[in-house]
Order: sequence, then structure tokens, then C-alpha cells
Amino acid sequence: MFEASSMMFIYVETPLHAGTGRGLGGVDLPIQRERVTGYPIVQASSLKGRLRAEGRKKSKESPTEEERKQGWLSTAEFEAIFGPETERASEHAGALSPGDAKILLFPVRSLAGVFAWTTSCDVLARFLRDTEIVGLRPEWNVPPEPASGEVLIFGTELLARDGVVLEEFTFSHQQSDEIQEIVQNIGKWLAQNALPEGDEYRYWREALPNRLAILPRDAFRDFTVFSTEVITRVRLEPETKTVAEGALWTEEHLPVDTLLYAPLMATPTRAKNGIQLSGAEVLARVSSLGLTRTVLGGDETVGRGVVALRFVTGGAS
Amino acid sequence: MSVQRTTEQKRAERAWKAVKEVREKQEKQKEYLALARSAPADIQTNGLAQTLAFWRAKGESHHQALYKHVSAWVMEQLGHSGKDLLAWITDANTSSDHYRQATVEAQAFLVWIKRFAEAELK
Repeated sequence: MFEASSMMFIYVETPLHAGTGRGLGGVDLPIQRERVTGYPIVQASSLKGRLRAEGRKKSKESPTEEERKQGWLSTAEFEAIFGPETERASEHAGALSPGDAKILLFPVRSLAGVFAWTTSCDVLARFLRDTEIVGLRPEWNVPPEPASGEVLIFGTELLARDGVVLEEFTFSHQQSDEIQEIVQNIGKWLAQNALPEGDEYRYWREALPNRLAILPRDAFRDFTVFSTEVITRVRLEPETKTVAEGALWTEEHLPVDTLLYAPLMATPTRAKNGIQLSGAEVLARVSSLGLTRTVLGGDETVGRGVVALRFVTGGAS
Repeated sequence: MSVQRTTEQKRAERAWKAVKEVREKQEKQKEYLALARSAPADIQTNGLAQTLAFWRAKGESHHQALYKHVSAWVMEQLGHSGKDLLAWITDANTSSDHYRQATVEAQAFLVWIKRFAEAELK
């Protein structure tokens, strides 16, 4: 069983295509989703592969004292944490196990306020459940489920004339002070604990509580299914500069400003190379790699999949 | 044994009929296929009402055919048989929630239309 765990928050900065390879639905190349809820996810294996690649970049045979302070790993530590290279994969398993990245906030076009970070009681309740596993205890509760066609918000920023207009759909809004306070608390907590830490996010940390919209669960699900970004791509014939036969396809992406979270779990290292780290030490090494940004999913060479990361250990809130 | 059929089966059956009708009667089969192919992405990008209005504005026989197929099916599913989908969406009494349901239904139906059109129309 795992000895230590923490939470990794993933904020999408350019459209993210964590794909399934093929689809028989409306979009040719759909994104990964949960079977039951239909919510977008990024599978654990994608995260593990990326963290491993970043770890490898920041490891060398014997880093200097100075480099160690900057989060560099020795090759032996790298192998103990992430597991040996493929040809020796049978020697021992790595010590780090990420979970699937799940949805927490999904941005939706809003008539007022440009866009809203939407979520639902289902998602928030599930997030609370998952934070319990990693020992992170947010000090807020899930609000009561909004009635069909209603939205829970704080403040007036998202209010257009008739209510809150998301995409082409209008939601009326709850006035009660009590509800407003719950939404504000959740927004503040997410801004402080889940959004990336950098200075460039200061503006967004302030904006989040005012643009948080808690939707009825069905409405939220529909947005995550039907309001993702669909990008059409083509391959041209170099000679004629017209579309090559059959080379016109659509790709689905998670939109910019989506917030996901993934639990990171760790066991003590199993390597026989002299490196012995506890689970907590493994997580500490991974967090101190200094990973504020990385790339996930496909289409890396057309600039897609840039994400900002934040590592939060239990009890830190 | 239960004879109750899933909504997916019913969508598939209707989509099959629609595409068969296109194959037998429609002159612009290739155009219908291209339109059906892009329809789900168009709705996702522009919204259902916008997309329907666009088909209506173009108004060639393949636009009309696809419009008719989607409109009839969605209206039937939402319990408004015989009404026109675009007129219903733009009606002041139609709530946002119902419009969202219509979008979801249209998308689910178009997946079948697209699949069958790709198989049957050249």
C-alpha cells in the first residue's frame, strides 16, 4: 500500500489533447473520458510518463551540492523513484504512482465576465473525497444541488440581464447570502490552494471566486461533453497545396483554463542500488524538481498541451 | 424476453432510414455525406441553433434533407412531434434547459447519421 500521497493540480494553458487514438462519435479524435460520467480525464499513464521524462531531464550521474539544492537527482535516485529503464524494467518497480487527472473546473463562455469556471456538486464532492485520501482537508462544504436551470455564484460579475448566460444557455441564479458565502469560500480556497502559484496567476486568483459557477450536475456534464474545443486539421499535398485525400480530421481538446487534479502516491523505494527513500521523501523529491510547467497529451509540436503544475502536500492548506 | 429497445437502437434505426432515403432519392449524396460529417463538430463549435439556421440559409436539397431528419427526430424525442426544431428553439417559451437537451439529442442522433452516411453514400 502507499505510504505517502499528495495532490498535483494541473492548469491547462494551451488546448490539451489527451486522446484515445480513435473515435466513432462526432469528433474523429476524441479526448480521454471516464466511462461512467463522461467527464474528461488524463490517464495516469500519461502523467507518469511525463513526470518520468521531466525527472530524467533533471538527473545526472552525480549532481553537485548546488545542483542538489535546485532539485537535481542522481541517476540512482531517478531510477529508484521512477523505475529502471525499459530493458531492465523487471528489476524493480518505481516508487511513484500518479492517479488519473480528474476535472475540477471547466471553463465555459459567458455573456458577462467572458468566461466562467464551472463545476458541479458531484465534482466538488468527489474532490473532497479525493483530498481525504491524500490528507488535504479543504475547509468548505459542498452546497446543496442547484435546481434544474439554476446556477450558484458569488457576486455579480457573471450576471447578464436575465441571469447567467453560458454558451447559449441561460441559468437563473440563487440569491441567498448563505449560498453566496459557500461559493465564495470554495472559490477562495481553490484560488489559494489549487491555481498555480506563480505571479502571473495573481490576477486569476483574484478573479476565480467571482467567476465560479456551480451548475446542476447534468448541465455541467453536458458542457464537459459538448463545449470542449474542436479543432479541424488538414494535411496538404506539397505539390498542389490542396487537402490530401482523406487528410481532413477533427480533434477534441480540453479548453484553456481547465483545472484538473491528480493524486500522487508513493511507496518506499524498492531499488537495490543503495538508494532508500521513504514515500514522503519520494514525493518531496518530485515536488522539488521545480516543475511549474510541462506538456501533456498530443500535438506538442503545434504548441498544444502546455500546463502549469502545482504540488500540494497534505496538511499544507 | 424483453422487447424494450434502447434509445441508441431507436436512434440507429431512424438514422438508417434517413440515410437509406438519401441513397434512394437524393441527388446530392456526396454533399449530404460531407454535411453529415461536419455536422457534430459544427454544432459543438457554433451551437445547434446557429448550425440549423446555417443549413436553412444555404437551403440546397442536401441541407434541407439533413435539417428535416434532425428536426423530426429531435422534436419527436422531446415530445413535440410535428413541430419545427428551429422554430421551437427560438420560441420564447422554450427554456434553456430544454434547448440543451435538444442539443444533446441532436448530437447523439448525428453520430449515427454520420456513421451510416459514411458507410452508404459515395
